[in-house]
Amino acid sequence: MNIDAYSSTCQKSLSCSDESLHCDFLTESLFDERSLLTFFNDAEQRDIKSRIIRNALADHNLDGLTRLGSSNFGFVTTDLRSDCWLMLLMDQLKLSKKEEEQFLGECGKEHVDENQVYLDVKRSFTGVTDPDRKEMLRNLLQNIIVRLLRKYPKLRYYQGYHDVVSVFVTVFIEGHEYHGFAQGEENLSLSDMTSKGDENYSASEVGSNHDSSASTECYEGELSEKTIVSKDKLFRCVEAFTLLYLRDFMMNSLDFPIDQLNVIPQMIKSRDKQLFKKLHLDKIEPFFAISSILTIYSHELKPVENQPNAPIFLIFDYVISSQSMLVPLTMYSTLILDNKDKILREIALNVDNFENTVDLVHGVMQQVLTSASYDEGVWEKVLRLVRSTSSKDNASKYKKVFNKFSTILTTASGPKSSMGYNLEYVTDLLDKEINENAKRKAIQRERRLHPRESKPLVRLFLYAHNHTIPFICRVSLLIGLMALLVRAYRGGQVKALMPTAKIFMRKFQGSSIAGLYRGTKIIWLDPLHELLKGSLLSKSSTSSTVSK
Amino acid sequence: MSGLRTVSASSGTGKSYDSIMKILLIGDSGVGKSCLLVRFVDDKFNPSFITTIGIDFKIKTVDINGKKTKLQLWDTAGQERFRTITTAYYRGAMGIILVYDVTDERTFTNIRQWFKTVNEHANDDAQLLLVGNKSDMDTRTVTYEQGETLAKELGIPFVESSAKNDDNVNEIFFTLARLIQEKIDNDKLAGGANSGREGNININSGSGSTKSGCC
Repeated sequence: MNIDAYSSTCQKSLSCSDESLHCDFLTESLFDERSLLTFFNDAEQRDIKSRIIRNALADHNLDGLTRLGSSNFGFVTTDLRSDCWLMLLMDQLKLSKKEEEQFLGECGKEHVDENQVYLDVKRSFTGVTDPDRKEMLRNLLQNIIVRLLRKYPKLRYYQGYHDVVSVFVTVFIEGHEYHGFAQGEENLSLSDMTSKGDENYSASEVGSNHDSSASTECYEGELSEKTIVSKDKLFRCVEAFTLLYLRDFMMNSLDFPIDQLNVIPQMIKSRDKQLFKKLHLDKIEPFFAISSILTIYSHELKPVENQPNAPIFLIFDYVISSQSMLVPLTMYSTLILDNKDKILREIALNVDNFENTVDLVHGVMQQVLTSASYDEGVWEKVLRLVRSTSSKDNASKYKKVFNKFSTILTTASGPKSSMGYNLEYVTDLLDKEINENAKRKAIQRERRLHPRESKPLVRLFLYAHNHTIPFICRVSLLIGLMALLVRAYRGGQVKALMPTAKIFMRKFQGSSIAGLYRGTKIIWLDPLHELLKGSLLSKSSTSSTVSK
Repeated sequence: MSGLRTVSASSGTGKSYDSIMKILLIGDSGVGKSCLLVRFVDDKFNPSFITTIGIDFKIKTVDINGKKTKLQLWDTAGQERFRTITTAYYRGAMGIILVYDVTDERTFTNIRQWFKTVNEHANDDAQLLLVGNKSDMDTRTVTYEQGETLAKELGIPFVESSAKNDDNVNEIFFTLARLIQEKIDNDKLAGGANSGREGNININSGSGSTKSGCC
């Protein structure tokens, strides 16, 4: 891979007059609407900004780039955008040469979700009118996704991931003809895949899919060097973005994405209690936002070639520059807050048109988003508002909502002054998240199997876990629970409570109160500790620990 | 209890319809749920219609037995993980369309699983309908008889359709809407006969239950 080549090219292309436009004098507000630069018109500002970006790229000025990407116009042009994304993402996830090239040569094993990928890829790039171009874009999209899944088989594909990757594909392919690419991969043509996807998914079918995909890797040798380099850059970006930003979404369930969604009501509550109540956000789950969050708006705002100023690219510029997955959530709540009047009006108008509140709020939000997707001004405004408030929103405020290995709390938690992450660290986080997700599933299963026994206690506990409750209240909750357990024991109901206790223990260990629990120095917790431990270890020998 | 009811259009906003029916489309990914919907609502067909992520809805007003009926059509994502989300929208659905792809046996087998999910999450008296889509394809692996047998076993009506050729698409929605309307009318009659038993579940309780929120 010859990824560093572009920086030297950039260096050569610098003209003398550009030398003065270095990032050193950049301030946060250089490209916001109050800046002095508004003296120039938009085109002039863009021109100045592209020259500054080019210099920042040449100087490898990452700080400068993050500020440029977070301000008005983002990275301005597609060429600059792809270079900036690559430079930033390569810095955020550091790979050794070996790690980069791993799998480039070999073909990898079929990933369990490849069929879903085929189904979604053949429904991608619907806005592209030229059929050859569309076919080529889809081939590339499929190739990148399959290659990534095979390189990291623990990642699970979700519907919507293809939308995210298509943003990268659009940015990296613009200006490339890729004729050789399309021809070279004829045997992986979509019609081929599609017919296989449509028939039953027997083992032999899967096997042949595997063969045809595998042969794509081997065809790369025939592609032009420029094509390979570009495709490798694209893959490198998608790889870093997926591992650092999308891990939460790539489990085998939607639990962690739903955790993320739950931040939206909290954000609204903290800024506008009345709106929060009127939208019934205390009663309903914000599922209406799922596609926007899972796809970072790329489902609503489809990327199109040759539109470098389209909001979707500016959103990705901002997310990558700020290295924060809180941004899409802040954007969503900002969108709601900024459209408050419209939303409330629609809610009032439609109260009788929907069967229940879940439907009503969903219906109204869908309407707001649909009309916003035709209006770039809405997104410009939302981005402007988010840029100006983002410093107030930081992930630690919502710490309780996420699992502790969540992207939002780790690898996409905001700009890091540190040196970026290495692959070992990130794959370790991935393993831990998968583990957490499995634990969560086990608890849910347990709740379904023993709804009656576990309901009150588990609910109480989950409530305590999911809400920010003052320490003193938690302590009293614990004491209350202890009392319940002691009483149950005395009443000879310990056996009946066993399942509850088990769930309780599991939840307990993973929770933030765990620190409290493990702190055996805290004497007053000991009876509970012992009781729980005892009751889990042996069903009969708990007696000695409970007696005062 | 009866979840079937029409939502009255009595609010002062001048609605141009007599009732609303909430209808849900479910089934595996790629069977053509969105295509059926787009064919019915916009009379268009696009073989590569976009993936549905989460849940989407469309509205079409139709004439059912002389009544202007607003069909509220909820389209769902097929990938299994989205079930957590989509089942939250089953509540209050008066009609549920279970769709499979006649060229893909697995989507047909999975209908039983979908049926189970419906029983767990939907109102007891929701009207179901089984649809075998893509009937125009010559790569069919599920016969009409297989579809019919399954429908009989589940005790629900059955239609084969093609969104591509516009075969039976309108029939799906009109059949379902008529069946729902019949149920409503029967309920009304029954409600009149023994109003003591189900008296407090008013057929026109639109705004009342709207405010009740979720669980």
